[in-house]
Amino acid sequence: MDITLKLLKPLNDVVGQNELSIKVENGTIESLLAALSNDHPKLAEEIIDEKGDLDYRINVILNDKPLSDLNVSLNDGDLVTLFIPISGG
Amino acid sequence: MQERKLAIVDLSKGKVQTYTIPKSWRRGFLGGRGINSYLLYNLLEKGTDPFSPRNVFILGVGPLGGTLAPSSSRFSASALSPETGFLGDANCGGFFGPELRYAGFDHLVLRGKAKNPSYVNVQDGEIEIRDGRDYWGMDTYDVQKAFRKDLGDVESVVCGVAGENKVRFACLRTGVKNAAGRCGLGAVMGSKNVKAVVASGTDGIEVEHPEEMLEVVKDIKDYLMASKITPILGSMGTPLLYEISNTIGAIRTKNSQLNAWSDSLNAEELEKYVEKMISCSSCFMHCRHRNMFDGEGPEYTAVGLLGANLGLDDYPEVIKLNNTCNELGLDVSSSGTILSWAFELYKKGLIDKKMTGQELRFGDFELADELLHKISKREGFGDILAESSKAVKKFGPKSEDYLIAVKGLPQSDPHDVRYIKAFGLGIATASRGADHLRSRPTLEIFFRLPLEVKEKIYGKGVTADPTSYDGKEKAVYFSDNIFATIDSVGICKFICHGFNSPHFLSYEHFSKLLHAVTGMRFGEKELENIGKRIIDTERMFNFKHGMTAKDDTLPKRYFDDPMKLKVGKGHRIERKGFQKMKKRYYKLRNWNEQGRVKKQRVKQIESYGGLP
Ligand code: SF4
Repeated sequence: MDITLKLLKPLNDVVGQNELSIKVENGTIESLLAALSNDHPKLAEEIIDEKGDLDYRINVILNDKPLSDLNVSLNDGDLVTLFIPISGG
Repeated sequence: MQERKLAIVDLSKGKVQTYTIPKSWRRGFLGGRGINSYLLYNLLEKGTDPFSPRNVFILGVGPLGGTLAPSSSRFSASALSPETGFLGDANCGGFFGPELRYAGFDHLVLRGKAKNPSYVNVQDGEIEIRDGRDYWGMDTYDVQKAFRKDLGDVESVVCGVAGENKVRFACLRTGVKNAAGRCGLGAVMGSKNVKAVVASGTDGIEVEHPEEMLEVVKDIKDYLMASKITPILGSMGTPLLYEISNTIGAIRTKNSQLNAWSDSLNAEELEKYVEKMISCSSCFMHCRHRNMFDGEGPEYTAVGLLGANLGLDDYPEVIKLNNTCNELGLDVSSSGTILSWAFELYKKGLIDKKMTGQELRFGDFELADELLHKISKREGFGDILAESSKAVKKFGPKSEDYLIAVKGLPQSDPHDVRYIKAFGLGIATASRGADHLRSRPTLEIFFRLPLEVKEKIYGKGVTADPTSYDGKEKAVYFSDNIFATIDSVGICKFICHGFNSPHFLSYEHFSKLLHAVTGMRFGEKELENIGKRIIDTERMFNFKHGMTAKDDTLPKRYFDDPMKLKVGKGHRIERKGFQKMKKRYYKLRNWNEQGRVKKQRVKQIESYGGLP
């Protein structure tokens, strides 16, 4: 299935694009991360921790729903947004 | 141990009196905001009019200010606020705070009123009230240039034309953009017939343990540089936050009628107009921009409140409005909030052309710019807008339903707090009114922060879900305390724990820095307790000046109107949940049910005594 991955600054700078179209094998965040490690290793390095999990400092929004638990099913055409949630200022 | 000095300048009598700051005050309140608040509580009588000579205007620097400690550029300015009638207090970067210390003073109190336009000159331990007539009427850029031309290498904190005209949200300015922005402190300075405090000093700051200081600073610098967040802030600064808030549907738009706006204000777009990144004194973070329109900024606050909130989506226009506010000496937050409030009232027919003299509408750059100039001169309709939230008296009681303010202070930042409930409690209970810099538990936006990490920071009982009301008082309580301590040691919140990252500087680092600089040992718990004491002192001040628990509330719109867009869609603050959360917050603070500091605690705080 195809997932659109939206990256907010500065994550977009790592790949030079604001949006990526990612093919994932099954509808899990794990398979999305696996596809990223394959196709965009630099980005994967930025966002995946030593244990192979998505770093807890990366926020994930699935369509319009923020995820606290990544145990969700993705559907074809879903939009996944990733960002580092700085909010002082 | 180094002595620290405080001076009281009586502008009416032309007298200056100098004191050594009692050591007990330094132990109890550190300096900066802490000692300022304690002084305010002691010096101001009940029933004082903020514009009367009886109000006092205080500048204060913390014990780390102007040293090698990272980001130690800050000073606090305090007075009874003409915008709210309660605590007026604002913290500011740049180079003035350190210079005041090099000139020999940590705290400066101006009382009374000068007969003629004046400025206060502080130089190498001497203070003089000087004729300022030649400088009166100048904008904030020109007047600082004029002081440099006339007096040499000085730093000054000034009020603009807005301050001279007692606009209730006039700010203090030092440098091009650094502002003690909130609560109308520029208007208090102007009301005293003072254009500026100018400082220059050749005395350095005596550091008790220089070798230790070098070591501690190096360790801290390495620690901060290892963080992922540091290079992000250093390359883009706060405008980065616009896209984040907009993504979750938390950008105050058109007076909070909407909660999301255009991508054209993302930081990426701003980069086209940035000349370079610059920094305040002693800071390697360099989070601020010099823009290509002869100014500095905008910060996230200006992007949101002079952009989305006014219905503007063109970056050059937003930057120009930001520069206008800077030049005239207007607080960006109140400017954006008050203009958008008037625009909505006009659209709703609650005010009309008879009052405004012209059509008001969102999305009109020229109109906004013209109104900012009129406000600063109190010209025509600008005279009413210059009253800030007190314009309700002219607009009618119904207008208050659309005012995004707490305790009369327009909300400081562009974040719509209806989604993250702790943000709501934070601005409702903050000691100076609706402001994120007093107690916002910003880490609440880390939606995936493991509960155990959150509990470690905020304490057991806090919940992971940002939309829950449960345990959120703990997050606000923690932030309130540590932010008060940070404002009182004299460094910038940007590099401190709980604001941008859970891994920035905390009590343990402050403790080490304080020992190296002052030779005084402060335990981590003790530093947290100082934060608590400052919050209680500010509460005592506010209650003395008429505040009640009813003032700890939120704009009506946040309770009644659900957000319309994106992640926040359908979210609002429920009154019941809010009231319970507030009650729990009072309990945690050990205030009584009416939100008042208990008698025994008042006695304890008052026992620090008055000036020797
Ligand atoms: S982090 Fe930014 S605002 Fe704070 S002292 Fe440094 S440059 Fe100034």
